[in-house]
Amino acid sequence: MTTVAYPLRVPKKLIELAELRSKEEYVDKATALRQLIYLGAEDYVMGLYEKGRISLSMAADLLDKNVHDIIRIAQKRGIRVGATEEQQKVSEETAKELTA
Amino acid sequence: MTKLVFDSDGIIKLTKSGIVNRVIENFNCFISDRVHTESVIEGKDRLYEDAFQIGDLVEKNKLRVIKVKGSNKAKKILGEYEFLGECEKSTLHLFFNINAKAIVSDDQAFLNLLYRNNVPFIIPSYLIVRLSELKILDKKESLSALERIKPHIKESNYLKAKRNIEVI
Repeated sequence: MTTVAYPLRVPKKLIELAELRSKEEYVDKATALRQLIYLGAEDYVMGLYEKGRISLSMAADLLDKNVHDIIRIAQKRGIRVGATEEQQKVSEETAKELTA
Repeated sequence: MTKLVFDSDGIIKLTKSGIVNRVIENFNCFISDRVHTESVIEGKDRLYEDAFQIGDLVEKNKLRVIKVKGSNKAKKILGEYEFLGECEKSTLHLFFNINAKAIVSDDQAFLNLLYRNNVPFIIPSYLIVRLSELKILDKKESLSALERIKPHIKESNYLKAKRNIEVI
């Protein structure tokens, strides 16, 4: 994943949490902080995907992952996405027009 | 034969259902070059089994990959819509490029756009129902296919499709 430097003030408690994570996961503090930020980003993006606010491909792009990864993460989190009731009806009507 | 265009969501879920070969035998199926990159090339790099299966269909020329040309109709519909990735956008362009019958997808953000703009679409669970109605799949095969994609589709879609198959 490409990284960029960005000036940021973070809550002291988050730094303490990053220190704890760095010890638990055997990574340096900056990596631990990046991982925590990424976990938050993943929650947020998957939430948007679940609500139908962003597409599968967009979710993959935002998290620097592949579409298969997003489907796997969604399954792991028990997220089941798809058509609304109204869209389901439209889909049913379109499907009825299909002939082999 | 009827032309169907799949986005990554549609082709991956249909592959998971185990009946993608039956669909391809009965309809002309297409994906965009961008969907091919996402669902096959990048998927194979990450060793996803579904990617190898889709790739196999492409290699046998059963699932055709089309290099997309810009469609004015698609551009007009997409406008400033920022919630889709390149995969879904290329799928819409391809739909108009080849004058397809419908787009197969279960991606809610994409379906929102298609629904608002009266672009025909079919969700994978209803494709299974239709294959059952057309006797391409028997009841047992249809229910098994639906069961395989159950963890990936909405409960309401699963239940409705299951009910529809059971009364055929």
